[in-house]
Amino acid sequence: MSSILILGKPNSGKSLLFNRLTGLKQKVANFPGATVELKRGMCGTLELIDFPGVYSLTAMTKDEEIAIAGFHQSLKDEKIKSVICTLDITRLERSLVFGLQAQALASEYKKPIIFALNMIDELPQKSELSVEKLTKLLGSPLYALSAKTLEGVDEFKKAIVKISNSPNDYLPQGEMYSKQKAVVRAREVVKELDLGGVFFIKNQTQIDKFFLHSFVGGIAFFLIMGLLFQSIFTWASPLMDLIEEVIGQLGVFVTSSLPAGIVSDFINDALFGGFGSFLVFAPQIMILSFIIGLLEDSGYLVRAALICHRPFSYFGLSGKSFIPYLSGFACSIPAMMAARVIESPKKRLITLITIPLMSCSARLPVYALFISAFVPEEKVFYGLLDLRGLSFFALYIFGLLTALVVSAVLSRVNKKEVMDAPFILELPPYRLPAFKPLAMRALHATKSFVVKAGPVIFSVTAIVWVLSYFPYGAGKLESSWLSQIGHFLSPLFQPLGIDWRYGVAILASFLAREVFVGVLGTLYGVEGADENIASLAQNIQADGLTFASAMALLVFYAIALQCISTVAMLKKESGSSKIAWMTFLGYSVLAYFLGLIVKISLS
Amino acid sequence: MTVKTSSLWDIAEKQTALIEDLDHSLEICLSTRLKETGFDFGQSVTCLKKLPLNGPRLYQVADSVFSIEKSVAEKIYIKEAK
Repeated sequence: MSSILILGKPNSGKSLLFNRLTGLKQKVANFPGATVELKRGMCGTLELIDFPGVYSLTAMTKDEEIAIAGFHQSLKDEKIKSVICTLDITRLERSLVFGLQAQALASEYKKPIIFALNMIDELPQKSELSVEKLTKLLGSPLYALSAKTLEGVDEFKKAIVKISNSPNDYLPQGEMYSKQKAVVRAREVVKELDLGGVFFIKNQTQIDKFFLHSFVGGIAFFLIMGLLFQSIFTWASPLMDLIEEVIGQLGVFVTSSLPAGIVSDFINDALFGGFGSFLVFAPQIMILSFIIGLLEDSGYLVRAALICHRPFSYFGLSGKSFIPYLSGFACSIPAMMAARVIESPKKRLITLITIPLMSCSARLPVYALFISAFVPEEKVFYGLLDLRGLSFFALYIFGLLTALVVSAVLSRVNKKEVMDAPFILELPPYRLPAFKPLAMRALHATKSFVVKAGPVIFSVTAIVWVLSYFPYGAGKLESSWLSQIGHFLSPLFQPLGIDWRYGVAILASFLAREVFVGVLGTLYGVEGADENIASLAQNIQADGLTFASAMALLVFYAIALQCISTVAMLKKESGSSKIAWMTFLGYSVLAYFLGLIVKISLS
Repeated sequence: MTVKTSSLWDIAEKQTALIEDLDHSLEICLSTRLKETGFDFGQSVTCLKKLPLNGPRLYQVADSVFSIEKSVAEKIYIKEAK
């Protein structure tokens, strides 16, 4: 099978063109041992390989180093018939610097390069673009197109097939310009074309006056982030309810057709109960991915990173850390995937380690339980604010502040010299995003989340189920192996003022936090505690749990990394199981001792 | 009016300067990247925006806009500012 590489600068519309050429069928794989992704898809009988966008063939970060080594490696392959390089018409000079370097590289390996001059829909009508002149100046085939409006894409498809069938006829002609020479040549080419690139800058600067304004820009930032936050919780809610209902009904249907016993119990509790509760989060991941994609493609995400950079840098983070942090309020798993945008390896690692401190949606049921049990339903500040709402907010802020403090400590402790990237951001123009590719990306991210985290969740769910089911079977949780472990560890939980039942619930929730309420409900004999938090809260109050212990538990839950899929994801993204397990252990110890301090202080 | 200044960080909003040199203490990969980005000898750069709290500043070079933080901008020396 013949293959074609797709290269280009970030924001040159490379991925959108790849999506347009390959449609929905894509495979994503990482370079061995790295988070750098390679996407593969078919365009007719040709395989297209989409490389990550890089600014230059001189690497500045570890990921760029891996990607550039990958270009060289791939170009040696006989299977690779040609190279596509996307050029952004609105940033032609900068695009050409990379384009000319890529052309020199392709020429070195005797491969043709096809330039895709993208975003021609953004050219002002009065501009005259001479494709022939540019093709002649570059010495390689060039096609003007718009991956967004599909203008010129069919013609481009035919051209890549033709060129890949007889690559030797299309090898780069004339002088090749590698490294620094490409900078000078790009300048000369653009000067000869006289496209008036400054037009785009003027438009962009006008909008930036608003979004980067010291006061108005700040308000816009908080409004946009508020909308994102709202979307995670509110818009995802009907879909989450629907999935929960479908899984519940499916569970009833399947188990009712099975004889009562261990198989039926396992399918009901572990498969539909445990694994099913994980699937409920899929809509949140989808909506979050869609909105982040929308912000990214519109050009706002870079501006938001810019606004956050200075305040975040006090804590050893990058401005780009704020998106993973924000995503972390929904779920740590997509948040860790979002951290890939941070070029600096050190800052990305610190961000990855601190993401689990954001109060994810799985913590909500635990917060709701203890707040409804111990915080009175009262209005404060002249009836404007609700005390319980404020308590929720305080817990979110507590998580964020802890993350910032931990980041500051980590950045000062780890002063080891690493190949780190300084904060140099290219500001793309503002653009209206294309809906379909955005929706495809969101679906892909959701599928990837379910496929990658699913097996881990299911395995641990099965283990916890076995521990809670045996040796006496269903309805005997108090005498199960899990309970025995809880009793054995009860001296550990005693200083927090909680008994073995909370210990069992905490142990079970190391699988996933949301399990806590369900397990505690079972131990207190409350049916459907997940949906009936008020009844469980009454039981907890009546049982004599003190306010100090409840607050200690809340602090414990706000910090502890009780999510096995997050640990698995941290291991994958950091490339180190040591980092993942040290983080797990570190947060468990920190959560315990901070909980203890709260208990002692409030007692 | 021509004002003598030393680094890119020193120029005011809407002021344009010509790049004189890059600090030799910069790592080779960073100075190469800056040159490829357009922050190269003789190139004209305009400061478009200063962000509060000494945050990164926006500079226009040729057909692109970049935000650069203080630690880097201070190591880009300029010849003159208008």
